[in-house]
Amino acid sequence: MNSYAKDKAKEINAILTTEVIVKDPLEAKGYQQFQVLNLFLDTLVRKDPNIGIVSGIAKKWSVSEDQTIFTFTLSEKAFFHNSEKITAEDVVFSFGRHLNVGSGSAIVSYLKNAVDKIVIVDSQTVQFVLKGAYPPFLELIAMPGFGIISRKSTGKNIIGSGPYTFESDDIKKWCLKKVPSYQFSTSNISKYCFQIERDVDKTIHSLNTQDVNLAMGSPLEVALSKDLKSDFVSSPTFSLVTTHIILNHSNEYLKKLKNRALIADIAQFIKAEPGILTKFDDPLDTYLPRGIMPKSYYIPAHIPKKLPKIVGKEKLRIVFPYGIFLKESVEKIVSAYKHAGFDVTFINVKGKELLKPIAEGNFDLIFIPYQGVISDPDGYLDLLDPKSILSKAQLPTQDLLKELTSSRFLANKDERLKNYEKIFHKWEQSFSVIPFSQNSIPIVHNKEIKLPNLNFSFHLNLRELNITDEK
Amino acid sequence: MKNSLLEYYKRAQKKTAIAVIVSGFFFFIVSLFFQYQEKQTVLNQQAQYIEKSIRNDMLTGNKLYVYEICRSLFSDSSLESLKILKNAEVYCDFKREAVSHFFLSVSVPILFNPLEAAVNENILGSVELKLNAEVILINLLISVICLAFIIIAFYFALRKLHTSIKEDIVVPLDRFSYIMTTNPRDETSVEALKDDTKFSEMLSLTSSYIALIGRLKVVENKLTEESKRAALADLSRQVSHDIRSPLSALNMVMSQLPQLSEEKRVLIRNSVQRINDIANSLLEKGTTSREINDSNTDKKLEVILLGSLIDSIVSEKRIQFRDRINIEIVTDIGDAFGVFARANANELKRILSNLINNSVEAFGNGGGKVTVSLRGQKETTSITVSDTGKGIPKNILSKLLAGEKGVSHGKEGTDSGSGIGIFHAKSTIESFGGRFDINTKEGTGTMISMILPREKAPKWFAEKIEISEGQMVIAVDDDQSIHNIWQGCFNCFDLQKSKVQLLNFSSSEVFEKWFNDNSHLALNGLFLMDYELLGQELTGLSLIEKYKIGAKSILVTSRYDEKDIYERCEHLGARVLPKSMAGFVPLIFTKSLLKPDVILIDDDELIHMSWEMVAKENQKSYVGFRNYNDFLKEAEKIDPSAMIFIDSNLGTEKPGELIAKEIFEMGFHNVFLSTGYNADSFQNMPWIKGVVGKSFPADE
Repeated sequence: MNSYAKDKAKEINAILTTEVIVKDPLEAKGYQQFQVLNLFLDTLVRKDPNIGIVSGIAKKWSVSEDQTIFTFTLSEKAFFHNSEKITAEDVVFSFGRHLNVGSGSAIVSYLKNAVDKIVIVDSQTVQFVLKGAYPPFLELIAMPGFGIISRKSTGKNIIGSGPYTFESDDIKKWCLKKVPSYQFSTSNISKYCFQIERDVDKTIHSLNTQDVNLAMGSPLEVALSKDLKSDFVSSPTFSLVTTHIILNHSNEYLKKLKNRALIADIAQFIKAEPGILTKFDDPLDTYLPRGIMPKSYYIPAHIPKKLPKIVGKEKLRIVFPYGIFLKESVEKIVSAYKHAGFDVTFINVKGKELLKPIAEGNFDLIFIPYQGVISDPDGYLDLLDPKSILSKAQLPTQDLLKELTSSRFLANKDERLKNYEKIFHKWEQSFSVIPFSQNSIPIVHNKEIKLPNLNFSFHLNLRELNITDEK
Repeated sequence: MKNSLLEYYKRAQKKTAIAVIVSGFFFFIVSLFFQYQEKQTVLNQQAQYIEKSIRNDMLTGNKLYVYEICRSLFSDSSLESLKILKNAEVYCDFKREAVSHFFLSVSVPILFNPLEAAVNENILGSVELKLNAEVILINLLISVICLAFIIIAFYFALRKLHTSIKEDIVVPLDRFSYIMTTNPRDETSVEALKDDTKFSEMLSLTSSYIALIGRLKVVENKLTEESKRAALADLSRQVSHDIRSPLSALNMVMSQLPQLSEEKRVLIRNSVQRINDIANSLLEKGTTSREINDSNTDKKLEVILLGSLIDSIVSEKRIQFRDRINIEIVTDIGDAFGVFARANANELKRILSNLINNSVEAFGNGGGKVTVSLRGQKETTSITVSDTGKGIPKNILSKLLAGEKGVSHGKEGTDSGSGIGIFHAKSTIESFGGRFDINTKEGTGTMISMILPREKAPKWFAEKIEISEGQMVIAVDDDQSIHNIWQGCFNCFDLQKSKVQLLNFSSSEVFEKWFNDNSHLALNGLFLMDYELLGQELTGLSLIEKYKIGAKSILVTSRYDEKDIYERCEHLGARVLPKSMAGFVPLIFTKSLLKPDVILIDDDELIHMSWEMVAKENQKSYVGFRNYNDFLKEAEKIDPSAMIFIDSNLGTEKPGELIAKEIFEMGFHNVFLSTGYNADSFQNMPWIKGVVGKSFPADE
């Protein structure tokens, strides 16, 4: 029995909660989609959970003295799934697609923020010229969304470069099998299959009946369910996920700083109450999650001893994305705002249903979970972009983003983060966005599945899973 | 060629020293290796930590940041130098001012991808560390100094041990060896060796040697005594040998003296036997200690008839002291006729002889009475020799019992006597399992008691003579005095009334003639036969065998203790009686029991008349009782096996069946009911053997 045959039995059958699995990086929006892409595509450099940045398609690189030019030499071992060698042209093609106007790329802003141009030196050498010295650059291009595809890819026929290739295009179940000719080291998983399920009971049933051995991004009720068989464990993924309350500044009441401060005080009071947050969550007092900034950034917020109350009666419409909080927690949050004197209406909605109130601006407060794409403050700026999907909230972030841009390109990363710290402290006093919690998205998995060390990662990388032989 | 102790020690010392130095060196090398390993491990861990700390910044070309980290890590460490290179470019290179001459170094590559092989194109740079390893050298130096100290200390310890072995063992041993060679009996010199050593083993050796010298002296003394005894033995053997010939002649002549009376013959035989015993005793004294042990088989214990032994020795003593008419020697056997004990006959005779001699001597030139008594208890027997002499003073008595030389009973206050007599008697009696006591009172006399364990009489011994009513007793003996003794004994009975008839025969021929003529009478007789019938062809034992009368015979002989005689008697079923005991043997007279064919207890006179008549007609013996009381009066004369018929109704309150039960319980086992009632009326009465009618019982 060859090694491939031996690995064949080691399969991950996973439940995801994303809308759809995509092959094209331009179509990927959520982190689950990027996780699947990470199996399908290789990047120039990778982030190893134990080591940090390691070489990928680029076997080595040099950095100019001013740290603005990164010259990557591509590996001779790097091939597409059609067995063609990966060249500099393919790299430029892959990044260029994001930069094309109207590409629809969800991550292009990060690239645009840092990169000035990408130059082909020769067929095996490609040069990235940055707008300035940008310390998180390697981490940026290690994002699965910047995976390299063949320039021969057309439409839906994306030719990937990663260790796994799509086996079928079943709309209910997507399977990726290991590419036998893949020359870099991989985990021992021979095949990944994904199905999409958001229902708690169905997810638990699928786990208990061994139809799947892993559930990712499922509601907390799954991870905390007592009906799960003892074969499964719920592990926190230590993801750098934040949940913020976005205040709709089109609301006259919320335009006033003192009212937003009151809303923030009530939020501080609520999140300190027992039973609101689960074991997978911690209270968050800053916009950026812990693990991104220097320690001095994380100043604890003032927690009121009593639930603050408003004078008069104000209407407040709160939108909750389903699965972020337990049902009881949602009710307690609503109750708290009611007790504070608000006339509260709320909705707790799933997936696409959430997009509607966001797009329409039909909310006063909306709880938004967000996972940064890189472990840098720049990875959390998308939400604050006036052109983002939250544009209806009319967040006053222009000054913030401008100031951040001026501090972005500093070779001294400590000094850069110190500048960011000052800018964020100042902006957080506007209470336009109220930090609520830092969430460690639970992953429910069979005990045979071994999770990697997540020290250097800000989310779980499916590529690093292994299935142990131990019984 | 054996080595001396000091040479052996020197070689051992050399080997030990080499072992210590090699062990120390090995320890030193191992210690150095582990210290080196530990430092190297620490250095590697530090290099990996530094590589991890600067790797990401190396990858992003953040040279300044790498330099800062490098400086910080170096200042916080004890590293000799820290150098970080990116290809040929030096990112940082820190060194201590005082450069050590002894250091450990390690170089760790910084790789683009540590998961891939560390080939050239995968290498981004390197981290080079140097660690001051002088501490290892210092530790090494300390170890060498310690080892040197240990070796020096060890050397002095061995020197001290060498001196001690030489002074405390080798020198005393040499001196000891010299003493043993030149003057082995010099205890004083050996004793002085104890002061020259510290070791208990040497002290023990000298003490053991001194003890050995002491034992050698004892053995030498014994050898001297033994040679003296050997000389005495030669003399004794010669005397013993010389006595044997005349004794043999005396024995031969004695058998040819028929005209002597039995009593005199016995006396001569006993005297000859005693001389023979004395000769044996001399021979015994003449043997060496080893020979004595061998001869102990002759002193083995046997079952002895004490009365006979005492009688013979007293007879001998009477003869010995016959000239001293004012001295009386008597025996008092009492009822201890058949008392036996386990002892050695010769030894016991010698003891009694000596004790009687002592008693006689205690009279001095005067007179007195010596009594030898015998008594038998259930488990023990006691022989006492008492005299009416002057008694023994207390101070002498204790010396006598201690076996002190120069003191003896009867010669107190004189220098004569060995003093061993009493002591020997005591120890001998005790060796028989007995007890020896002296009870004396000055001016009154002395009584010596010897308690011996009692033994059962042998089967062949005639403990008593049982004579039943009307029995004929036939005595055959060539000695008239024996016939007189028997006549005297039987006179105790009323011969007329007891209907016992005593017949005396002096010759075998007359006896045989009578036996042949009256064989029918002889069948119920009791025969008292002498063994030796002088001048006659047959002995008494031959007659018993010839006429097959062993079961009815008692051989009355002075040679009762000869094994072939009593064994032959035992074979023929005859018993043996020592002739000297003829006057002492108990005679038991038993009356004949009444055993008629039928006994009837009935109050009906007609029934009696009827049964008597039928008995006569059938030649059966018959006895009738008119009531139960008459029967009781005669019951003890009636044989228990007699058939007794009882009327069930005797005209008294007690029914016949209950009277039958009482008679049964007296020992009569053939009890019948003679009744007109149905037999079923007398069920469950096991004492009644049967129920018959009123007619005379038939033969069944």
